[in-house]
Amino acid sequence: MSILLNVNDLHTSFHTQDGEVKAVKGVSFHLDKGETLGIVGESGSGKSVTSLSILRLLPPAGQIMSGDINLNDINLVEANRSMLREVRGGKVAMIFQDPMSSLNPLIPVGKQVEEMISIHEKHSKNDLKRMVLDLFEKVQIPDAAKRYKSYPHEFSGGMRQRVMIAMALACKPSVLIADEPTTALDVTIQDQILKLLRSLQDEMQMSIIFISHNLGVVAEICSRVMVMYGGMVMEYASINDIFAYPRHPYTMGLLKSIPKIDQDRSVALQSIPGSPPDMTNPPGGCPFHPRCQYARKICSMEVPPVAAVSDEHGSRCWLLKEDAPENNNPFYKAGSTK
Amino acid sequence: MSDINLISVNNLVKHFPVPGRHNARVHAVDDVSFSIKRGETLGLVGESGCGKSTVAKSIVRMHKPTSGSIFFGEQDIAQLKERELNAYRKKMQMVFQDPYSSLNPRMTVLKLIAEPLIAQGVVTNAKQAKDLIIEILQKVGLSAEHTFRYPHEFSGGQRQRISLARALIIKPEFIVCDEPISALDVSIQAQVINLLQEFKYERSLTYLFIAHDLSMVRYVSDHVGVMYLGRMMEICDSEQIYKTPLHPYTLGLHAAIPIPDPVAAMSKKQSAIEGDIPSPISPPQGCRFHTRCTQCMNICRSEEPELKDVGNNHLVACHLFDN
Repeated sequence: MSILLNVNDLHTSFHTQDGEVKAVKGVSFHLDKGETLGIVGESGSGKSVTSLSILRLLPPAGQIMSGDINLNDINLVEANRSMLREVRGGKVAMIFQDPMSSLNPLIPVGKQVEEMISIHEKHSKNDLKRMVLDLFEKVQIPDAAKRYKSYPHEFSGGMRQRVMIAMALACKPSVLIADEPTTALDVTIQDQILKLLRSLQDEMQMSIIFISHNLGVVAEICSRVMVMYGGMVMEYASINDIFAYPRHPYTMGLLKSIPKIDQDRSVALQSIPGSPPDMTNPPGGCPFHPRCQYARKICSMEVPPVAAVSDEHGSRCWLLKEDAPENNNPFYKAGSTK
Repeated sequence: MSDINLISVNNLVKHFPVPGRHNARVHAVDDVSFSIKRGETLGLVGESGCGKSTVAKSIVRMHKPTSGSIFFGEQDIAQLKERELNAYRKKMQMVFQDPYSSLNPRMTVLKLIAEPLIAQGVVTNAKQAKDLIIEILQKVGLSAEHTFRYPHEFSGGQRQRISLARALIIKPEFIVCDEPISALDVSIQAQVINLLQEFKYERSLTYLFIAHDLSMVRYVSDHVGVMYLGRMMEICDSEQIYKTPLHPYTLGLHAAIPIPDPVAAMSKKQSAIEGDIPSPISPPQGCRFHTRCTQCMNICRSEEPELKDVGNNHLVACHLFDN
């Protein structure tokens, strides 16, 4: 498959009163045509900042310090305003967690979707309306003609998210960035939205970057995952490998801390001790070392390099180095063979 | 555990007026009955707007029920006056969903945790309770050095520990946990759940645990109740709700849970629930779920099914199990 989006060694910082906060520290990944890449992480892991950097939508205090972001042959880090205008919504679209605050409460939803199309393409009024009604049908908003004139507050959360998806898909983007699109929704509605995204992806052949903290949701929709922590990619792999052969203590901890539906009730859940790092004062070395049960001396001193487990599977952990000691090492002799 | 009911809710109804619409009422909870045995955990699940939080708030009497009775031990507290309630306030506490808005940002941890003690007249000021507070802080995994800090200095998980300490300080018998982990990071959720479980066994606490995450609810609860639009649809042992769910709504909820296992996720074929939850101002006639039910029959549109025991203390409100 061909690479559509390539992010290389991205560093993004925020300039605050307390000095520079490094939110993203050297993130690299690529997105193929038609695939769904999951980005998993806790609050403050840098997953949203990464996606905002791609669209250059960082708040004023945020700045891309270095790195490359290439969409086909467009360099998004260097792109000027008019190029960005073409990319945003046209080639790369985004949907957010809270559809209520992303919609204008004073304008009928149909008009808001129309606005999105007319920014990128010239159409007559009637054509625009017809296109919006088609889109509403595509995202399965019932009674589209009537709903066209409704205001956001007349919609339920799930329907609002459908409007956001309609808006995002209006110009047939090649990449859709979905930042926790189902977190604010009920499980039943979440399931509906995930199904919708999957069927639209097949139909439109677009690539999706799906950001979530919920491993269950990621398992349902993604083909590849990268796990972020403290502004870095800790592990990346195909969806099956992440669940079956996690090769990073953080990923392992995350997987163990969610109860399975048939979990033995008499056994306590395994949790990761401690709290996520304070990004204004991050720990030295590997960002996960203060919470890692396998941490050794080197982990607090130096950031581990990415060790390749297989072609499409890498993990940033000292324990995977060839000369890593045997005791207290879950990956000993298991690192390269699987 | 014992066989005595600590909480017994009978035919609880809570309607709210709709501002600007004279005769309209939000049917938040309609005729809900259940009981919780001492030392047990009842989990309540359902979509937003199903009335699970209203049930919880009615039990701790943050709401006054429209009708019905709520027995706490021997006493019906549903219609008690504020002054009479004071004795019961000591016995029941609540932990809220959002640890960012449930802690006063201008109070230190010491004052926050001392508040229930002062309100109950156990002490007259926070300093007197310092030893007690340090002890409880250590129990929830914090330490004495945290006593003079403010909520903004803590992470979400630590704040929820403070909320828990505040609920536990007056040694309640019953704690309502209203989505206590949904605002927390995944790696922190298990920490808080384990803490809740520890206290349950150590102090033989009784919990009402509300959440929308069915697998977490099953893990912490002895019994699980499924609510929909103000009604109890199914209530049974927490193993049964997972192994032999009966109500089509419960089945739909099951199908909607994302499975954290890509192989199983691929083979998932059960169809989940279509459409949105109807308005609780004018709930559907007959069975409230019939508008979204895949197995809807004629009788479902006209007659509301009763919650009946179908064996093994498995209660379900569905016409499919009528005979």
